[in-house]
Amino acid sequence: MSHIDVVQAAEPWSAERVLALAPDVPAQRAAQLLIGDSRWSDSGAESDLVWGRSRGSASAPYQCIATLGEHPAYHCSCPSRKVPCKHVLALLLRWAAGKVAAAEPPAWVHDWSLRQAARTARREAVAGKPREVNPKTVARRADRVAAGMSELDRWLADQVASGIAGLTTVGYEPFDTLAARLVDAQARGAAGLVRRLAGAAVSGDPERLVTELALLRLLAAGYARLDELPPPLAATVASRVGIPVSRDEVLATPPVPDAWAVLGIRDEIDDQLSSRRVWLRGCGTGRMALVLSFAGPGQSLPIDFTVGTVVEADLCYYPGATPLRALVAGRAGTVCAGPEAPEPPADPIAGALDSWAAALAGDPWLDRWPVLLAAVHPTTTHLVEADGTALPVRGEHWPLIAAAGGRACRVMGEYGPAGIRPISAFVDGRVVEL
Amino acid sequence: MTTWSEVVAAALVGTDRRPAAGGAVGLLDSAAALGLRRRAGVDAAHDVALPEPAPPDQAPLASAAATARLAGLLDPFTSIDGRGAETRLELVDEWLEAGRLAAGELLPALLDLGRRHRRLRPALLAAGGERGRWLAAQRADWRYLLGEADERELTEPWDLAPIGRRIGHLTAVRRRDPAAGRELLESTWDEEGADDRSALLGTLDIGLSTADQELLERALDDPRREVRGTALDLLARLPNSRYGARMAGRARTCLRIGAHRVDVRPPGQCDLGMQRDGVTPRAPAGVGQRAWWLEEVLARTPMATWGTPDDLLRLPLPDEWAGVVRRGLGRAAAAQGNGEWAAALVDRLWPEATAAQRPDDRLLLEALYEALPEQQRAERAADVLRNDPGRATAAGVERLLELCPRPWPAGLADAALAAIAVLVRGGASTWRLAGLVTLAGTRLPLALAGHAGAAALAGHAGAAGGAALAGSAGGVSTVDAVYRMREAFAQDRPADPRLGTLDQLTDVLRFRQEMHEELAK
Repeated sequence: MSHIDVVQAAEPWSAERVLALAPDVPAQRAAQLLIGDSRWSDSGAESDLVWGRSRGSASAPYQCIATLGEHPAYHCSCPSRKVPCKHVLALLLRWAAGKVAAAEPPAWVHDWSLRQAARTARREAVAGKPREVNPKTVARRADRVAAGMSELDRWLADQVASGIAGLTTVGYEPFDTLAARLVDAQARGAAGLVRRLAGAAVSGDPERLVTELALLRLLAAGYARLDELPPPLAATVASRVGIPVSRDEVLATPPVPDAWAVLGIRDEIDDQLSSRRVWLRGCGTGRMALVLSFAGPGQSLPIDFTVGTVVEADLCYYPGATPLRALVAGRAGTVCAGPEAPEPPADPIAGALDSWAAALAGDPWLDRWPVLLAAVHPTTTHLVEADGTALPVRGEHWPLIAAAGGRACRVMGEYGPAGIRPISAFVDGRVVEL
Repeated sequence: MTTWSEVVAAALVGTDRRPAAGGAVGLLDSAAALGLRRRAGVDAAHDVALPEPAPPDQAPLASAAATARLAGLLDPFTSIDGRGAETRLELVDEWLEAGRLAAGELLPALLDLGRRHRRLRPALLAAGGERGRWLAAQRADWRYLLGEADERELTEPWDLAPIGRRIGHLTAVRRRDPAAGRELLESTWDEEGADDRSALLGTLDIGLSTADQELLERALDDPRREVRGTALDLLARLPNSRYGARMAGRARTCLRIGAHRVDVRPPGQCDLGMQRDGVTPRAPAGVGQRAWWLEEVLARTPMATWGTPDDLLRLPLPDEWAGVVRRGLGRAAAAQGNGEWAAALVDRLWPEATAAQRPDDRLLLEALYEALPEQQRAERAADVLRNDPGRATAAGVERLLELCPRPWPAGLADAALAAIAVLVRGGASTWRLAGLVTLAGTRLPLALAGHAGAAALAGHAGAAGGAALAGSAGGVSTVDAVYRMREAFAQDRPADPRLGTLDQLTDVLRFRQEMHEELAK
């Protein structure tokens, strides 16, 4: 009996799909330079396991392994912190190009895949176990949050009693102390708002400072009578204070099926935690959604969205009076980009401001809200509609100005009290990520 | 507490001093309601002026893949794997020169790059299209792009326009009607600021003729050294000028051409007339005073004074003066852009320059190469590489290679690949290889013509590589050729550090090949 037909490689991916795994654009570029035959030796693939050795700047070649199954994992002996690193990406690009032959994994690959399988099994065991919720723990936590919030409320009243003019000159320190105490009280959300307050105080704008103080008071007052609030508003208040919502709770909400247009993606790569924000808009419902994903060190961000495409999916919104953040409960696939793809509705500036006002009514603590403007002319200071109606822009955005060339285009951005921050633009049928 | 401004004022002072209904908490509650209403009820700005639209570009943008590649090249955080800023710049330049339009969103980064690197500007002007010019006009630090080519009619009076527009305008006028340009310049010459005079005078370069010599002679008495220098350079290029006649008179008393030999009599002094005509009286350290004056006189004498190069150079020169005379003639040929003389002199100067290793000689040689027609430049560089690659790299052949047209013509490409093969096999140090390989990466053509490339490699790449190449008919992809060279070498010396250098070369070549495929889409 022959063993040859036992060893089989999985259907290779396209180069685009491989590149989408990259943690950032530089890694993509770097990987494309490393695909030369001369750099690689001992490569092979078996089902969704791919391996090879790459000669880099070190004397010994780097060992690269990737497994692309349900739980993708990557390994490379190079010193890069990116996952997957350029060597692994280059290996996968070669694999996608059919340059990696099927083979039996050698010992070093086999050992790693065993370890990896054990790690996955452990993780699943932990995740599969329904988390025991101890009612005592919950009660203790609620007490601590309540204590923290009422301390915050007293602090706010004290400031206003003695006059807030002094707050503009004290620097960040008193705010940091207060925020740290709120973190101790497990009210991380409120702590974040206190840091925002510090920004308002340092800016020296008294109106902004008064507003932020009042919003914190609103949060403390709302939390004090959480039980009396209508459920959606109570959920918003709780999430703003920092009470976590479990994934299961979110997925238990009724899903919103739609063709979701991917409007923009922003990554923040950090040594500790990388995050990706994906803004979507339902072509049928017109609803905005924000899908957040995080990756710790050694993990890569999921790569399920491409700006300019439309995705058939069911989204579940986090509960709240102004739902925005959502989870993908299920997706049917990408309805491609192009003329036949559905278009998300876009708004005039007046409509976008109405949506901002409506969003604030449900969640007064919002400081930015995604908007898709239908036809605006970007200038150094404003996005201007044909009749001269305009929104101020935050910062200078020369790439946007240059891409639009003084003509009207669709612009997606986040609107906030300081103006709009452009994230992507749709010009002459092209998507421009800013 | 009814209005927002009252609430803010009370909060600033404090409810202890300005009591409010409901106390501090009551004030905060009214502030929340009022502040939120203000935040939510914000109105759009009105009557904001629309931007001036950019004139439309007729050509389509480069393909999406090509655009993405350029974006990667421009991203300062992209490491092109050990490749320096210089290579990145070459690749950007190559992209721009492909004649495709760059997408608007990339233009700001390109304009920033062009501000620092002048040589990108001509290609950027084309690849930026109308959009690029429209954008450049909006920022002072990008406006150089308009100075590059802004030859449109002036909207303001000639003497009040910004210097870039004035130079552009004068250039355009000179191109149409040299006399009108000169008269325009003369009309304001005496009022021009010291900084502008040299730049404006430089435009006489276009359509230069004997008719310009009055103005140039006047400029010789200018208090500014830059202005005198510009005037001297231009005067030296005029074939029948009074200046040329003066220099020729001096030069003929120095070099007396006899039937069988040249008699050399360097000047005995440097009088005021010579100094006005640009002869620097003080010799640099290490050069004899009279020898220096001789070189200076020859360097400013019209080449026509000597007839054809052969008339002078075939005759023997006294040994002690031969070097000085060749350098003087060399400088003259370079300054006057005389290709015929430059070609004749390069061959005589190259051995001297490589043997003596004097930096001045090197610079002179480079200047002469620049005066050569491009095709000849490449042929000569190829000869130098073929004769002795080791000595060529030691003598800085890289600078000469930089002056060759890009991509390198077939003969030079073959010579360069053969030289790399020889150096790799011969165990040259990697740093010595690096200069040649870096240049080759961005300048080699992507396809080697016919059998010449194969033959060049077969001689050095070992039997396997040679046989493989001999089998391929017609053009050979350069990436493949280099890769085979590498494979053949790796068979003999699998752990050699020079393999890394060859890998680097393959990587850049492959990058370029993909880039051109994307640009062709």
